[in-house]
Amino acid sequence: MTNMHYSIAPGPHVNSGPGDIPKTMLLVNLALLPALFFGFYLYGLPAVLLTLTCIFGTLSAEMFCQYLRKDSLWRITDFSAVLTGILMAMILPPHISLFLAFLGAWVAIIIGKALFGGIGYNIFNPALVGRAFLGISFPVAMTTWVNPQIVSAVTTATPLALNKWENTTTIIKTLIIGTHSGCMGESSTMLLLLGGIFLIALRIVDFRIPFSILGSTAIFAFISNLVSNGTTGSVMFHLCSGGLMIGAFFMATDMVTSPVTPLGKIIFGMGIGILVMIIRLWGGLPEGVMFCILIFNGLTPLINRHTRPSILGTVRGRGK
Amino acid sequence: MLKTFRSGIHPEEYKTLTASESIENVPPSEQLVVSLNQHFGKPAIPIVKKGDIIGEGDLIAEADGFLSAPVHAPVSGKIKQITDSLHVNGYYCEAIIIERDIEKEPRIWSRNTLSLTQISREIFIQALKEKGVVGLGGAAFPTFIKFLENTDKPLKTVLINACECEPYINADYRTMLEQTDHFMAGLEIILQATAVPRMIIGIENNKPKAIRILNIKTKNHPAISVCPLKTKYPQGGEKMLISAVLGKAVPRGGLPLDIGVVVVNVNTVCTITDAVFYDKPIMEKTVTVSGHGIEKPKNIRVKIGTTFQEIIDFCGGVKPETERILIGGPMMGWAQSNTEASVLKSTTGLLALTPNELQMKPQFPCVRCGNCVTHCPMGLVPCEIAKFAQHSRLDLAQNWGILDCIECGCCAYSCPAKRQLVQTIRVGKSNIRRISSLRKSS
Repeated sequence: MTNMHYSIAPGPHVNSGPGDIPKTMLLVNLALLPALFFGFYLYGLPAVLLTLTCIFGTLSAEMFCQYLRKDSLWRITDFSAVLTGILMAMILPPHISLFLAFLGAWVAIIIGKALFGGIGYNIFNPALVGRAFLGISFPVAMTTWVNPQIVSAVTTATPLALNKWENTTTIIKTLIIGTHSGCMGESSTMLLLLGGIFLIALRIVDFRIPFSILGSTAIFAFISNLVSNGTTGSVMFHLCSGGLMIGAFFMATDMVTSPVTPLGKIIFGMGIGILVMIIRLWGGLPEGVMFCILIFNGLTPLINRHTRPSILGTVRGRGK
Repeated sequence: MLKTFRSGIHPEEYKTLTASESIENVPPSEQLVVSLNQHFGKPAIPIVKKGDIIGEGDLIAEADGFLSAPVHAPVSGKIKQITDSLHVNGYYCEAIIIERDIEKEPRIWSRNTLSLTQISREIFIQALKEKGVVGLGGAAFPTFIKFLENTDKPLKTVLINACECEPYINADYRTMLEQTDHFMAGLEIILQATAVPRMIIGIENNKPKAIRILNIKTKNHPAISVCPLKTKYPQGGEKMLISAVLGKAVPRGGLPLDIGVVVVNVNTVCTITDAVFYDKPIMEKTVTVSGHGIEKPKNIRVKIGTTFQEIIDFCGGVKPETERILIGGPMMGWAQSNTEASVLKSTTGLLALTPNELQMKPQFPCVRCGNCVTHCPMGLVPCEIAKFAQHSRLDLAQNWGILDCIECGCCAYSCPAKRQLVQTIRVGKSNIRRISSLRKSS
């Protein structure tokens, strides 16, 4: 009898194959590219530099943290830090100073991610943590908007601010194509939707979160528009303006910071959608997607705990 | 729309490797290692000693108590030794080593005089008990216990498990094709003995040939129906099969009989015919030998106690790139470090897998994608339960339903971070059981 020895392990001995995390991250990056390139087209060189700075910032911060934790520096090749960098750049004003962008990227990775234990352990979406930090610390720089160069490079306000304080509505077609002022990569509804559908088709993103966010926002906007005789902006206006699209498809759907249960995902999405409309209509800010997502990131463990699926064979009234 | 259960996965089937191979008989080897721990419950107690001469089919070990099953000699010969030997599960368990008498012709098992209408529940249960019939799907639970008269819980449906949801394995499929009449006789025996009003054969739609044959054969039996199911793993699990076919759920912590159902596997049905009509105990087993590491994948009928090395030799040996030897399917099978152990009643497959099929990847931190939640057929949250089990928070793990886990492995299969979810949960479950048994004894 041969004395061959084979490797042993507990079952299952097969798995679903190559769909691993770095690949997933890479695909999310790819899905962002159309909207990102549109941002480059709108704002030119400053947008490119901003993106590069953010990616450089997140990667260097990630490497720094890995070095401190005596972990492999090659961790950065999982594309998650690159994703944070690109997302950061896309939700910053295109002409913000590169130093602030770099600072935001470091805050995003260090406070938003590494302090919690790195990938998989963070509670809040890192890119949004970075942006929230910049938004609160440098409010003027973060709210100075310039029209895209292809329109006319003058300082202006975003469609939501215009609607809220000056009662001017932007044409829906502009909002869908994305030639209005705003953050670098969040303006083009069309291209973000394209990327989002791509991710849903690949089953990287669960359709429940974006659909429930957009659905609840639409219903809320419809009712408020009806009640206020059309002064709060139409359904399409609210769906296509601000950071709602990028938030719904790329920020709220961040796996780490969103619920794992199917019902939890719907509650999470609806909560964000309703809160977004509350801030837009009655809050002190023109836009609230960032804070809404951060708030619901914090509520995620609670949502998970209370939306557990029913275990097969649970008898009603008995068991838990 | 075909019926099925909720969630689950659909792994690469690889059934075609052996689907068209008819069952070959492996010539009995000169020495057999018959384990006494072949079933769910207490190991059998040997009633023979070293040097005894035994005949084929003789009782060599009797059941130890109620939840146990007897073991019979697969060949005639001499008892060489009763000693501890390597078991499929990796532990050493007591086994009887039989030296085969090569002179002796194999015994012919002929049909006894019992006619179908003479069978009563008593005769049926007695035969199952005496001939050591156990569930051959994997758990090897003594079959007679399932059919004991129970006035509180009347038997309403018998489900025949013909799913064979594990990839690679074709043993039940080939049995249905080649021993259809034997199989049908078993179904009639069960119907006659238990007087159950209906019997449903649950079969996955990746076996169209078997479905066609069964449809023809069951035409004249109003009580028996064939229910094709959508191919999905783990449909062969008792609870999943019941929920797929009947749309009912077994209560948590309960048995199928609580809702009037008993599930029997295809090969078990054939051994029921053997036991009742031929007085033949379980002595051999239909096994699929497959995987890309095997030179000649085959379906074989082999004597219980044959070592895995002999089976591999019969199938042309393993290729040098073989990484893992499995007993059972790739989802729930046992990995073997060597080929010393031998065939049990519950052995369904022997697989030699190459690194290509295994796709071994390093673990990545959990990113809480929720794939395990959407694929868990029991409706659990595996990522959270595994976390609790890993950190020994057994109270929380129990609160989240760790004991409801059927260990099918869908969570670990579907995890993009390749986390060892079911493996961790298994450790947690055994810790909980150990602690509760300690509490009981103190």
